[in-house]
Amino acid sequence: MRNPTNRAIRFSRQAFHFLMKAYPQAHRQNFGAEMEQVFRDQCHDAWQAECSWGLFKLWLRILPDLIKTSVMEHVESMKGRKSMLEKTSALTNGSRSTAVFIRVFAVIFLLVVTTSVLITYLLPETFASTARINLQPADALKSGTSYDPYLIQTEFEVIQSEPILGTVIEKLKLNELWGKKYMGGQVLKNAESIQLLRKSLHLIPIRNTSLLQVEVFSDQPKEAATIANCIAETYAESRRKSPNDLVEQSPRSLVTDKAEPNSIPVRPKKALNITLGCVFGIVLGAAAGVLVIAIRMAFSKKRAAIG
Amino acid sequence: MVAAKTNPEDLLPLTPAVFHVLLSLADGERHGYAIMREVAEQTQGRINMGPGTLYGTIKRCIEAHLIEESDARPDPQMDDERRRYYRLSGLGQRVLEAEAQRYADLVKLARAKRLIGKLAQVAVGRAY
Repeated sequence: MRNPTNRAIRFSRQAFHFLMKAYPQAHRQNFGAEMEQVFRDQCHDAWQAECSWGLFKLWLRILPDLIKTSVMEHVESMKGRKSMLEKTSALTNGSRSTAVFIRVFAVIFLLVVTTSVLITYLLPETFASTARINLQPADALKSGTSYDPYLIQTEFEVIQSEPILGTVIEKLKLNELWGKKYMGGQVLKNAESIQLLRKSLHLIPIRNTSLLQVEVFSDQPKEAATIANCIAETYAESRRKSPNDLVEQSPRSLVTDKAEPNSIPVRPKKALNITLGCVFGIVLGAAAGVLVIAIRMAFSKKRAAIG
Repeated sequence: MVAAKTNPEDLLPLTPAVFHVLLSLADGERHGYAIMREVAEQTQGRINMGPGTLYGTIKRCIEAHLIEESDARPDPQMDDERRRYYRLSGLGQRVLEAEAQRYADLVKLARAKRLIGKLAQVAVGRAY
């Protein structure tokens, strides 16, 4: 069985090794190995502290640092060229400028695309499952014709109410389950679990029907389906068990579709993120290439004027 | 020779990154990651240098003869021998002392103008 710790750290180290190409060759030769070693140590510390979230936060700190310092090192290496002739010939030569543009473009493009890929693959996956409820107003059942414009909104609030969600939490023992998952074993209070449950719950009315969609998000497909089904069933049950004086006013509800575990994550949207990364990479790469050439040309003119 | 002739005052003020790297080496030799951790500890996590900033600063410090690479390993059995250790040079020590003195003078000035006292009062006021 493959160790996820090693896999995530190995992937991060490989990505960092690749991104080191953004630095000038001389800097890489002098400090490349040490920088990679420091990054490896940081990865281990980040993983020990907060697992993949720690690695993600480390990358959020490292990438801006890498972009800023690689540009600084390139500017310093330009200043460090030995002769004026070398500088001017390097700056005025057209083919050299094209090569510089391609190099800057490639580095920035790869940085942006790698960032988007890293973010996409390091973010925790979220799965969604949906159950459907058929909602029939009591009056409609009796007379066959009635329209209540507030029915859906009212039922939304009922589904998200404390009695319904509290029962779901009790049935599925979510206080203990989520306590283990998020609080390191400490049992959650009912109010905390209800808050978490409301955050992961999404209710959608289906247009021109009396159907309601109960969508639940979770990091585990099975958990999402179980919770969605439990909410739908608890709600339908509560409607069946309404006190007699309320039955006439309460809508009848029936679970029409049960939620099934969905193995395809809804978040992060991998294809979309990577496509956006490519588009931003092209735009930023081209802009950075043009900027570097403009700076080099301005620098060469200034030096020529001084000379 | 260059280092011996350089006046420490000419190199002031130091950037925060250079100052913290020199400060972390004031206690003795350290490798890159140890410097990074020491800086984070000194600043209660407010300055978290990445490898790029760290080695850019180290490079500039070496070029300015403020630090030098050490051949000795404090404890080769306990540590990875591939790591490079750095230590303060004579000039680095003098520059660090001069910069620390500059900060001390600034603090003295701020105290005289009761800026530090005022900040403390504001902080206490906000707490209530």
